[in-house]
Amino acid sequence: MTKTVNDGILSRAANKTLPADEELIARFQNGDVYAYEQLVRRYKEPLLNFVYRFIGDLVEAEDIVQDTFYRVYKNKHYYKEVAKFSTWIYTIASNLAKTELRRRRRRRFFSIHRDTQNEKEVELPDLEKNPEVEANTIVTEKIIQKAIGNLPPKFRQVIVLRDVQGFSYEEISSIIKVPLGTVKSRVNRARLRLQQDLGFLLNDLDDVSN
Amino acid sequence: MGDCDKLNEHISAYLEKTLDPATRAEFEQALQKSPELKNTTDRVSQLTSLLGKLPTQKCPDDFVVNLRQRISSTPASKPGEWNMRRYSFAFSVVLVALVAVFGIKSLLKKDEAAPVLPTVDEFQTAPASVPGGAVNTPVSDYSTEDQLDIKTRAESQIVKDSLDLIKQDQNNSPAKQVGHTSK
Repeated sequence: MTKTVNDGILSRAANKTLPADEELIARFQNGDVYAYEQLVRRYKEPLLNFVYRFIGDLVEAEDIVQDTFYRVYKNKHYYKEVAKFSTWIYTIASNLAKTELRRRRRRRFFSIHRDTQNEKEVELPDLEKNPEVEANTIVTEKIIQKAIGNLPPKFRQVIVLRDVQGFSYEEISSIIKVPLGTVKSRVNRARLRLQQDLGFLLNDLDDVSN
Repeated sequence: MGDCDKLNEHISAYLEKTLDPATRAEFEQALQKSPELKNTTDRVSQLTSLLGKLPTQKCPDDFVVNLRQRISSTPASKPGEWNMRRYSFAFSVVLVALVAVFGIKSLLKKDEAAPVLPTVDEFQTAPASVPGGAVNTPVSDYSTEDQLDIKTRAESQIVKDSLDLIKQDQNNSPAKQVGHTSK
């Protein structure tokens, strides 16, 4: 498994015929809807993974990513080439995700039901191939996602952007509009917190690999 | 460097090889001396590797189709709709700012009493030599200190200057008489 955003960037760099994001958005601003669809295909999965890791709900993450692209469509003229397109679209997605988290906190406060999440049914992998490995992977992933979900939103956001999505500190600083030093500090603190919560898992994995 | 928390702050920078050489050397010394720091650093390294390998979720197959439907089903916004919203927002901001400015101004006016600058007439005293009933009462040369009720030095200077100007005008005009008041 590889970091989704960097993979996309590397493959575009390798294939020089693929247009850059900024070229696509410029074409879209001039009325080329096909350019817009190319951007959608390019960013739908990286954004989905970012939002899913951030809010912990796949169904809601899909809605948020749809909303993000819808806003890009409706507000295309707001994009100026001062910033990278990826920064712009991730900022939109990030803000929508934060709004959803705030809405959930209010809902949880007022709701008599504790469990308000709609969990999408995850397709189980074929366990006949290598049942132990696959099962372990699923369990590990769930445990890690739960630990990420337990982080405060400001730590969660940066750790997902940095370690899951592969953004640089400068890009993260532009996306979340926070100074560079603060981003680095939050990433470090998020990592320290996670390694504490996942200590047992990391020790097990260490034992397995040794 | 000696404090555990301080050392922990450097873990990410150490793993990402962005520590300056001096700090890096100190950190490495601390790693050798502290098994706890080494354990934490190893775990953070393992964790970042694990996070980068998390399985990626796939979008549903109909994602793009649904998006197209949503875009085509939403009515296009009226030409002036966004502009109207922006203008009304800007208008309300300006209104609030004006109310704030006037509010502050009126508060300030209550605090400071308007300086009562004496008019030229207040300084006029009828000299004995001028016959009564004269239409133009000449401005006399007088000492301002006795007659002014001025609060600040700046205000008194302004009045003094204006009186000097008046005096100069009169001196330049030979037809007018200048009387003297007695103290």
